[in-house]
Amino acid sequence: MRKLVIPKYYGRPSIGLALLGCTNRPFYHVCVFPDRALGRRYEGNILEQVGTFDPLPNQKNEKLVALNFGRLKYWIGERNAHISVPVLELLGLSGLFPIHPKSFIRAKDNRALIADQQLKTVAEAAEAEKITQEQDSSGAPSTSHPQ
Amino acid sequence: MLVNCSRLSTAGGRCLLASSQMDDVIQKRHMGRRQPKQGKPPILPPAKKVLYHVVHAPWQKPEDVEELLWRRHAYNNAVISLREVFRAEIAQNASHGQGIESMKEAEALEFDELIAQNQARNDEKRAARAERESDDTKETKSVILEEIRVELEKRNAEKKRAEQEVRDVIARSAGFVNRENLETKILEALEKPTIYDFAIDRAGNKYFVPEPVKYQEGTPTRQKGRLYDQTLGTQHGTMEEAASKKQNQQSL
Repeated sequence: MRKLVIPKYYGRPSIGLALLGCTNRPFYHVCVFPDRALGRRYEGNILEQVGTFDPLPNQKNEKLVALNFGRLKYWIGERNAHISVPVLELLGLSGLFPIHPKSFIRAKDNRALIADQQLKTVAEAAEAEKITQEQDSSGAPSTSHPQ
Repeated sequence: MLVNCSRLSTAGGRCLLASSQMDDVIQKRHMGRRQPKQGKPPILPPAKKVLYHVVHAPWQKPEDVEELLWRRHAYNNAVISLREVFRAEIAQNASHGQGIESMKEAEALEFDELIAQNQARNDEKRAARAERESDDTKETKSVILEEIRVELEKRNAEKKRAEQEVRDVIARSAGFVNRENLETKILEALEKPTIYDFAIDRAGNKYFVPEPVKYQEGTPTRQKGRLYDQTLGTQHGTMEEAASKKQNQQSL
């Protein structure tokens, strides 16, 4: 049976993303919660907000992140807070922590994806060129024999 | 701080995905950000869709698993060390007078200083305002006094004019009828009756019907109006005749 609280970890603050925003507009606050077991759903559970994360890319294709390093250091160092994986990734990209392993895997996948797309576009371009050449070669004799 | 990680975050992030799925489920039950009161809405058993839904996460690639294993090992060690580093940093800051307490003291000092500056500025402004207001008061006072003077002069002039008017009226009322001279006035009027019941033509000739008498004798006629127009068929006076008549009167 699922326990509401795990005694070993109960009372250990947790840093995570709180989804705030509205319909079709996600927006996250990087927040400190009293415990993982109590959930991240409700505003009343938030102990402190230590940053924001906007997952929608802006016009410059940037996802903006704001982090309060001083408070994060306090919660991580002094209070031994648990940190969720998305926040760990953000911290790694921001330079406070080393890059998270998942970020490497994701970057590798993305590189493979981009390479595939490039190969596909090259292949499509080659095919289109081939078709045009065939059309030209089939069209040339027809013009050389006037009816 | 800006992090350009749009491609990185869009591709994966199962934790993010899972939390968003959970939020979808919660939002369908019309729940808000605030914690509902106990028992409201009623605690329902999980929907069948949720209860018997098994999430089949796709298997990770073996090379990824292998890479993640040693990377995670190194990463977790680094995180443990970083926790120690942060703790030491905070302790060092506190011991070197850069901790929370010193920050609080510095902020309190700055606050006091700012309050003092604000007070000084307020004092300056108060003095300037007092001076400005006294000048304004003097000016307003002079303006009001001038207005009062003008108004008083106007009223005096009006009073004099009214008094003069009343005096003129009193002077004109010398021949008026009052209780004292009522009898004599009546006798005068009886001696010199004035009758306005007449017709008049353009030359100013008056036609009395009936002829006025000083003292009424016998019974007065019952008919008050004229039987017919007495001026009908008579030679009416002309404008020239009237002018000559007027000249004659003036010459006389």
